[in-house]
Amino acid sequence: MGNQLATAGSTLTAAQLNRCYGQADGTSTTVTAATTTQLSSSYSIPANDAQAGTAYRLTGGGWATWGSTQQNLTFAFSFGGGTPFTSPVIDSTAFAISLTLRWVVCVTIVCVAPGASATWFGSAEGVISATTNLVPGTAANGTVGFGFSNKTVATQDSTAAIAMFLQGKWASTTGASTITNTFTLFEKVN
Amino acid sequence: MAPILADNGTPVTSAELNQRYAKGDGNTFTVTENSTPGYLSTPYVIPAFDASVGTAYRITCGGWGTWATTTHVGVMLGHVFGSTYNLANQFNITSIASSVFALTATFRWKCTLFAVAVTIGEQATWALNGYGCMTQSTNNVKPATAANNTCNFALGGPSGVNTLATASSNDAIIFALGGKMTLTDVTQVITTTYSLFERID
Repeated sequence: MGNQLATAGSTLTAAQLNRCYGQADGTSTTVTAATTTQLSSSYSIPANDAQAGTAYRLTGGGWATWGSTQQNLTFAFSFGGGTPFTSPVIDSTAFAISLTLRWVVCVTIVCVAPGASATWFGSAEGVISATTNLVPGTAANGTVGFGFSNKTVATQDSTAAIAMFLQGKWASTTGASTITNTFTLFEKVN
Repeated sequence: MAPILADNGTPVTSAELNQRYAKGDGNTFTVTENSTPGYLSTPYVIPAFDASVGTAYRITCGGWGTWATTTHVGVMLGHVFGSTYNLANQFNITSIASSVFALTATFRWKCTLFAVAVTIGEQATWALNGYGCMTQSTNNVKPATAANNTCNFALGGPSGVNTLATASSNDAIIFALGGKMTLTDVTQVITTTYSLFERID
């Protein structure tokens, strides 16, 4: 979007003052399910807030326990009830049985064109890793970095509020795998 | 915390103007030792009584390094978060194993740290998280081979991973990335070339 920059001597507007802001919380949410389930807190883009080029960022992270039976793990990004992009599957063999892990996922999404049929592109980067002595490619000390995005443009009405949050899903509940989000950070970037 | 937004026609408040700010620098920090942990970012200060529930702070920093010449040595990284810098308030220590890179490898790295106030006061609790990547910079990148490796890492909660850190928000808090080596070898170096601190909300 065009920069809402102030000029000397002019009256400041709310649009200039409110173009960048953030919100965060330390609410913990745990996912153990084998269905795609809300993992982070939910934040909303207000109705009619986005212009062409407006960017928003959502970051979450916390810890996890790989199951006593290893299971695949998938992250997803829920955006207005849709799922514009989903992470690659973190393979069950990436980590050892019952390993304790830490993780962070950061999503950026940009409005291409606003309106009732607003279009959006975005991407995410993430990492999930053992808690110490990291050796990539080893299950007992593993670490996995990943990226994901939408290849085709996503459509989501920007004239109504858009809720966004991270999601998680295990391939099966067998083995009692858990992933917990301990903080969520939402930013309007511009 | 909820953003403090301005309205047209109403006087602007300092709370509106100061809720989000940033400062950066090109200060250099170098860590080589095992015995004494050192800063790997500029130590920034969260002012006393600054945080409300949900206030978030972020540090981004990065630089380069050199793996040791004769003996493999790992690198340990973690939040510095407390009134002073000592091991007692260095949380979330993780280590990059000594075998990750080949001897004499040069590498580049970046790290982002988050601190979010969950509760405030003398016994304030904080969610501390972060992530980063360290990549050898000489050869083509190919994960899981020492000569070509890249190593992502996540930083989580304090001594365990499922608990919050405690640091009084009524006092100034030093917030930084800290690090040390798993062994002291002066040929193994990690250097920071820039730091960026943001109060996000």
